[in-house]
Amino acid sequence: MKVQIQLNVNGLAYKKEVEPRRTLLELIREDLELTGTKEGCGLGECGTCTVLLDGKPIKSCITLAVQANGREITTIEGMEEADGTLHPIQQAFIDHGAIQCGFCTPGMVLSAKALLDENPKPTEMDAKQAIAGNLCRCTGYQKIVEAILSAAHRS
Amino acid sequence: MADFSIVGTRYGRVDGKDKATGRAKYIQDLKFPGMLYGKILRSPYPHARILNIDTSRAEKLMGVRAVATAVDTPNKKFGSYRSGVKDELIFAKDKVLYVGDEVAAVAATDEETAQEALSLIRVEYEELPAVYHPEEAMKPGAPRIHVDVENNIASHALTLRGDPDKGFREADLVLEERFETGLQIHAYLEPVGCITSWDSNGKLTIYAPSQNPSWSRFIYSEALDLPMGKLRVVQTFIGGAFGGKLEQKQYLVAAILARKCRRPVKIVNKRDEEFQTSMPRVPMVIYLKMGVKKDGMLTAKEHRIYADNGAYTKYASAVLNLGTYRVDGLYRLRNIRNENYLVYTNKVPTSAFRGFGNPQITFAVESLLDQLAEGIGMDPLELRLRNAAETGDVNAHGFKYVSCGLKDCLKKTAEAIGWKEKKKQKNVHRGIGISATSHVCGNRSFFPLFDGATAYARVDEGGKVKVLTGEVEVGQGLLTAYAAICAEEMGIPLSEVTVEAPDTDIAPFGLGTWGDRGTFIGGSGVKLAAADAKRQILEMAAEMLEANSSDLDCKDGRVFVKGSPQKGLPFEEVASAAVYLKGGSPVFGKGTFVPASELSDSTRYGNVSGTYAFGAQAAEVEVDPETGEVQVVQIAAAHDVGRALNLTTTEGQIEGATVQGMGYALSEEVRYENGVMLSPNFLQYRIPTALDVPPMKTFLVETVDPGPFGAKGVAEPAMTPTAPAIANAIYDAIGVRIRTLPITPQKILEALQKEKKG
Amino acid sequence: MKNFSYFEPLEISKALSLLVEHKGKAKIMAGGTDFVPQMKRGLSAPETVIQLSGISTLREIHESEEGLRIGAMVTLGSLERNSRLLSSYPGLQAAVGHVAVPAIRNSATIGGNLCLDTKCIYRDQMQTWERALDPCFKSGGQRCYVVRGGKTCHASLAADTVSMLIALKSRAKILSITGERTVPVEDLYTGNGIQPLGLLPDELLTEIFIPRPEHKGGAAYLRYSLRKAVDFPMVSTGVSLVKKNGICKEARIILGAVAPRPLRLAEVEKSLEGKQISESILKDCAREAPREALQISKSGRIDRFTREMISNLVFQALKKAWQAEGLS
Repeated sequence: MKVQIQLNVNGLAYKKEVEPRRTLLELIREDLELTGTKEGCGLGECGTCTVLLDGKPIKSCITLAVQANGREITTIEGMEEADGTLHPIQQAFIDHGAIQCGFCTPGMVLSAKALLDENPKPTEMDAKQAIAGNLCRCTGYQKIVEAILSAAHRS
Repeated sequence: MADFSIVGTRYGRVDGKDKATGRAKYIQDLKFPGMLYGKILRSPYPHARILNIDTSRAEKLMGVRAVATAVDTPNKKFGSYRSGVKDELIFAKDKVLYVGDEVAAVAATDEETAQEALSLIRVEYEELPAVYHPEEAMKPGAPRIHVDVENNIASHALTLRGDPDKGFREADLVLEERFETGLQIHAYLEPVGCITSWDSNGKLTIYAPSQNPSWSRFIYSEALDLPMGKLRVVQTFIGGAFGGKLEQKQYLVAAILARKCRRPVKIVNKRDEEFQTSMPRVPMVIYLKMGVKKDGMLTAKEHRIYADNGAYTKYASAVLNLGTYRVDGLYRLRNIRNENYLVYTNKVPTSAFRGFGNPQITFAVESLLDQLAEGIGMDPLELRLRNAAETGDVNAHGFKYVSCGLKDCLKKTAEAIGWKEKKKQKNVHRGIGISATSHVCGNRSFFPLFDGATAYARVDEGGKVKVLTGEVEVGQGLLTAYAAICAEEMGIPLSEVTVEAPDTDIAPFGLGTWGDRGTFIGGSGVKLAAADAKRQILEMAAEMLEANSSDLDCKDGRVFVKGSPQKGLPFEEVASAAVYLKGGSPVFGKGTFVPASELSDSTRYGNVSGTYAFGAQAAEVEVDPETGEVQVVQIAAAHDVGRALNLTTTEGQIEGATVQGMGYALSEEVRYENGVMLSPNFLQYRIPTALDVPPMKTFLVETVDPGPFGAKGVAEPAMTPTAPAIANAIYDAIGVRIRTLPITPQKILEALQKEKKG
Repeated sequence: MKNFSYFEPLEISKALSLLVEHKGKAKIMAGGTDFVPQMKRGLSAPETVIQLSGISTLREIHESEEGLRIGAMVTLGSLERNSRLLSSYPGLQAAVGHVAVPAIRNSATIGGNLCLDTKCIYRDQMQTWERALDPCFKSGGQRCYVVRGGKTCHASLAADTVSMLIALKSRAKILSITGERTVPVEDLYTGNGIQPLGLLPDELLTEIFIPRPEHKGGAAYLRYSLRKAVDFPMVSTGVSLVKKNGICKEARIILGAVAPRPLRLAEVEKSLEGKQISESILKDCAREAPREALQISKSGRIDRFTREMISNLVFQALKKAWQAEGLS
């Protein structure tokens, strides 16, 4: 028994019919073909599925698509400008070596965006808390935190 | 200081934009028309006989296109390259040997159907007694895991150098201890996956995040009974590897399914599958004995290791018999006895993980070293400096240290942590510890025919350069390093160079990314290829400028006459002329680098690597004596990298590795119950989060090695010293020494309470 | 995940009648941050799911002189960010802010946290492929792995907000189609690891009421886990103290995570009440905490290490509560 939902993803409106059990991650990756959001664990424990729901980070792999009905979603694809200019956070990640394998990067960038939108002058601890739910196995987090603080400075 | 345009600075990653925008496509993101989804049925038992497999119900399920078991495979036993052991099959046939062993597989039109089909496959098992610990598995009467292997001993090796018995006699203090390290899971964020597809001529293509695309084909060729020429591996973006993305059984299963239904098949591990089957770090029980004289000179070292192979032999044999030797040269030991037992157990097969045996043995050696220092009343740093290797040393195993910054690393890291001051003024419950490491940069032992790398540098008519390599970017920044090496060598901007991920049909045969070889060996190949391309460009330019090519050079994208630099041409102009005037053939540079390494002999003696990397780390910890909780206050890491090609990515490697080392030391633990891994997930397998990491200071010691622009490796050694440094710091803080990893608060509290009592 | 029928009622009455209609076969869904993973693991497969996010009244917060009424569907994230609101309820912001990670808290609700199922490493496994581990009591089997040879389930009630809400004397409003009842939060818990929540199948927790703490009071929440994020606590404690002229007039000390229910350490509380508070008094009292915890729960989770943790955490929490400014 499918449910009709409407949602806005990266500024575009969508109407979809989904089974209640379909996760938001499946909708994003398979129905909308936005593959920047990843599946790292499927249980909401690693953070690679992080997207913004009405500006706040959530774990899309354990969110049902129906829970996003009427809401605004931002994925990594929605971070850059229409003309392709990178968001300052994305640029800071590149400049500061905050990216290695890149798999955690989309989730990290979105968590960082949510932080800076709410708190433009975060401390180091604020930044670490904001990405506490985004696991990274490559970088050791130090350069990710530096990138976030640097992006805060720039904006 | 050398005068480089690009090398040694902080240029951005060449793949940074793709990764920052979500454009980078990992295997889970790829889809082909007509593709099916595969799922693997795995053994629920740690040890059982397979009596019968009935796939009939699964085959009838709507949407299922293929069901495969051992009968669909050549049933040829195969093994990891050069392990000397062939004990694996694609699907288990007579017995299953661990929880996770592949028994059958299904390909269907969607994942859910495939999953349901698995539940319709009926397997009749006869459970057998199982054994889980190497020391137990070796005992007479223990269940035999492989029918032809007595006492479950997969291998036994003894190496003797010098006269250790004499060394022990001459020592003023001899100490002997037992250490034990456990499983460590790679826990890369990207699960292993593949898409396999056969063409109409019977050629198999595997799209996968493979660390060793060229070479893994040896194993696939054997397992599938398929000639190498019919095997193509296309490497996709890798979301972390750390040694865990070498050959995968999963790719073979997918290939069998794809062949059976003549459609491309995609399989991606679920995370719990990842944890349970991902070939983790080899656990080791290490009996270590070392002797030292009053003046601090080490006289002898003896180790007996029982290593946990798991159910099948992957790279545990090399980890044990090669990886545990690297520590021996750190402190100029000449009298050595190493005895290694590799033992089968009914658990996940163990294999390569960053450090490759080095973290395990170094934990033991560096811990015992501190005990020896205390025993003779010497400062632990001083003991290390007295024995430390130096440039020019040839160690007891024949390793030639052509560049060695070990002493500098030790000194730098000690200074950074405040060694002198903190040793003088002891803070209650706070302590500092230090550890060092040495690692190969490549390893001749793996591929007898050659050690080295070839690269191509192709210059097109627009002056853009494409580097083709067989080595692999796993996230460490290899593509970026190669682009920089090429650009620096050719004298063109970094933006003009792209590096292609290997497609084995096109790329040169590459040994792959492992053994810390990517920069030193692969990079050297790239440098030679770039030099060759540059030579051809200069030859063309010589014609155009009516000069001798030996009078020409190129810098910042402009070819010019050295004596009168105002006479010159833009690089693209020369390149396009070269292409058009030579019948459309691009300028094609080729370079092959063969390091000055040699095959070791039957006693494992030989200079297996062209150079060796060194490093040291110091940790400061605070331990709560009431609860045993450990707070890592700071870590200082100094690594001899030869030359840092890119300061940012080099630091990034060290920082990332250190955090893995910290997890290994304090929080990463796998628990088993009846052969079943408990909680194979990120909740219970505790890799550090951003809130868990301490401040880290990184120092790059540049000994300017013979490597490309002076560079050597850093990725692997950076993980090794962390756990021992932390263990030594914990002892310094509260006077208890834990000799098993991870060092949990429970263990510390128990040790403190034992001390109080007696 | 198995398929299910999905309802998103706009009113509580509708939700309540759906519960009755789908008697026993329906599950309530709030943020879903535990609900969905449990379904994905195969540990839960309801035929019908009743999502509460459509009921706006469940998201309301009312402040008054008496105290704070928080709708069950208020997210932990929104509570965490509302420092002003929580400033009068010390300890609660810490309890809320320690749950999992920020992204979980943005979806997770206070009602959901209170109703969180008990947790155990032996139970919370993917069930998608069969494993040779006999099911434990909670999984419908005949044994417990935490206490070998044990006769009951020793799963852990690990939800962070529980012990703190009890320390703050919170009450829970429960509605059903037949009526309503309000109970102290501590009475929500059965102590049964398999069915830890004392709600009837047709009942819905709709609101928490936290009475405004008395003047000269302090409260604190502390927890122990190996990592500083993601992990459930191994031991947690919520304490509140009312003091007058340096004397402890009232103490509430609750332990979480060490048993299938929160443990109110009534004896330790009594030993503190009436005493002139000092650090050594607090330490002495905290030292008695593990014994009482074990005595009243017989929990197999309270091993030697956990006892040290309990003693340490209770001391630290009491000290923090004692040193808190209190309200004026």
